[in-house]
Amino acid sequence: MLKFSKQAQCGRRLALHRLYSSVPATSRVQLVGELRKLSNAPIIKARQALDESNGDFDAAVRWLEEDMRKSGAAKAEKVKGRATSEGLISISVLEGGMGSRIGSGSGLVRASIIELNCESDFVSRTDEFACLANEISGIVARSQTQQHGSFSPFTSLSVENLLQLSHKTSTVGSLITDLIARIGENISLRRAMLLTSPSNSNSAYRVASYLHQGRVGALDLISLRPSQSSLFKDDTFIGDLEKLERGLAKQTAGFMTLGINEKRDPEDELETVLYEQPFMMLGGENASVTVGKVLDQWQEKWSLKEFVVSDFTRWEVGKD
Amino acid sequence: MLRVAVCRAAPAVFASSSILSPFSISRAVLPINFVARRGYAEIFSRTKPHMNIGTIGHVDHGKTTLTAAITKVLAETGGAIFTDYAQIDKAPEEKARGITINSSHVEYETDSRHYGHIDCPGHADYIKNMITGAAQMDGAIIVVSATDGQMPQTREHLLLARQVGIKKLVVFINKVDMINDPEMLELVDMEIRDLLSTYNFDGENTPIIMGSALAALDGRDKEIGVDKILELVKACDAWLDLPARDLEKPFLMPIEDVFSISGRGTVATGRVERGTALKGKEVEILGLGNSFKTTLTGIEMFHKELERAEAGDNMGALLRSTRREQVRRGQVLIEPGSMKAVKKFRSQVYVLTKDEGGRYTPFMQGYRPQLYLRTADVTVTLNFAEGTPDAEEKMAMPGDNVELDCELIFDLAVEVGSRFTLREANRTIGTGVVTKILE
Repeated sequence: MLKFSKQAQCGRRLALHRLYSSVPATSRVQLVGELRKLSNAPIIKARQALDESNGDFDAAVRWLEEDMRKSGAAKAEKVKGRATSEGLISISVLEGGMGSRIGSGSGLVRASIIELNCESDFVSRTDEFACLANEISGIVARSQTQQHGSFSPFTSLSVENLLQLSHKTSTVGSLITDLIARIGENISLRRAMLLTSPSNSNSAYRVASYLHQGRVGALDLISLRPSQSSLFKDDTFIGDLEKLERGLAKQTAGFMTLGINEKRDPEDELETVLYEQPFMMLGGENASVTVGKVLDQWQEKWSLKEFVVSDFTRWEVGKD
Repeated sequence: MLRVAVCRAAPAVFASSSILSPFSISRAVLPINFVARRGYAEIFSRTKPHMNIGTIGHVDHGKTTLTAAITKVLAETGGAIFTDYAQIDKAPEEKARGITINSSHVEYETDSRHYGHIDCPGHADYIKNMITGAAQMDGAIIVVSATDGQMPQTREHLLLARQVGIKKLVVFINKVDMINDPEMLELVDMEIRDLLSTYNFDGENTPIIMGSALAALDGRDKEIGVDKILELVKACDAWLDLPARDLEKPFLMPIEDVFSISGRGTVATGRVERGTALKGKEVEILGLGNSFKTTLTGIEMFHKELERAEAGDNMGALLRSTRREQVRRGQVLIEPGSMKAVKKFRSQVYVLTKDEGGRYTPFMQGYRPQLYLRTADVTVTLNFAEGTPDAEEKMAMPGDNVELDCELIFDLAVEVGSRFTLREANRTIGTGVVTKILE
């Protein structure tokens, strides 16, 4: 829901862009004001744009767009060294897996998670910044990056390469510099990961995701083997499955999860192990039963041959 | 750097109840009496009314330069110690009540007021400040550069000011020397006023001062430098409202202990939080499902009978024809009608992280910890504020600032601005401030 509403806001800003030529404004100050409403350009730039285009509004808009590219790069260069410790995590699920309502439901899994950083949380709270984060996670999920010789379904992507990735008429890198020019804070893509379904396996895969205030994000890859494949056409089963998956992703995000069924490090606390945590996020009578037990019960209930969280990733803004 | 001073925690000693006094001393004092403040105070006279003011603005728009400029200009009349850019910009991590807060403080005074000046790097830091009361902002200066004008994040700056309860603010348009076009400055002015009105500030009358903080700091271009800083300070004095002082507020004493003294009657002890109590006046006892009025027949302090007690004093209140069972720790003694006992209110809560001594797990809608408010300790049910989308689905994680509706199992004297802590199994898991009374 949240994601949807943010996309709607992104759309509104673009729509405004298309309406610019119909703006009735007369005086120079009014024109500068309108230019700013459209582009968020600094006052000084908006005025310059109008002067350079001899007062022609449309030409000024083009001048600004052009200048944004040039001055954005200069601005980005200037703020490059500044620390970016705030920001947002964004998740984009393109293919939710077998029987999923997201994507084709064909059994493919494709999702991305990215972290976009800025200097202050004032900026990370703006719609502009959230839109950019969502846009980038979408681009990453759709990118043709393939994993080579890796057995892990999660692939860390090189940020360097992603910045070169083209999008419409520009690149991911220039989307970022554009926003730096408008917002004036350093913005950097910190990390990105792609989740794809493992090939040559007998199991069916699905992906579950949860994002907490853009601050903590989790992606869980779920692997299951039903006794008959018709189960994926059963709406009751899918409904029950979605609820469980949502609970799992929320659990992964909400707790300091580091491992699935064993400690990542012997010194870690037991609560960092997903299967040992009380399944608070499922609610109801299961709140104090461990995740591992609930999964076993669930597997039995739907007589599955297998139901496991086969891999996951959990990110927090500014942490490793 | 930070001094945490416990406000007058002197034990309440009772003339006629010396055997009981050890009890009143040994009671644990809730950490609501902590005041954090910086240490230049000795050179300032404390006779002027004090208020806290914050600067909010984009990183490059010159907040720190402005703060340095204010101290420089006011230092000339002895109202401040010049604090340069580097000193202010440190924004040290400070600990108040176990919670880490990023903020820098500077102090200065004008002809009529004493200001504490706060600058935080981020939204979350200001919210934490408000919730903990470590540095409550009573007013704010929004700093906007004339070259950029307002930016997308300026909206967030105003939203923050709203959220921390600021009703009035002053705008400083900085770097005007970089724009030699009065028309453009008018545009900046117009845009800001529009935006202020959008966020329910008084866009029409809010003072907007245009100047250059750097010019003031460098001691050049007096008319846009020093003069404008003085104008800004004057605007703060004139436009921003002083918070009511504790002494001027209606009387309130949280009840810490109750004694029955033979031959005299029932005595409630506690520290006067605000206002003044007068012997012989009517008072109201409020909260915990049992509220009633009575008369204050005696005030005792340090083995002496007194006619009055005021904010900060530890006192014993002798209550007319009141049985001991009628009064309990957790209730408050107030000026009749000045407060209401409520069961439901909205609040802004900061959930402590594990490092700050809080939970390591999140909590969900319907969570029931203990709520500590003044001397009271009552079970509370927490829900996400009404109207929160997908409240059933949401969780509150350690480190979050969340808006919660609190429902108490017993009524308490609560008002907007009351601070409380949330505890579970002897661990403080959150701290909050009341933002709205619901019922």
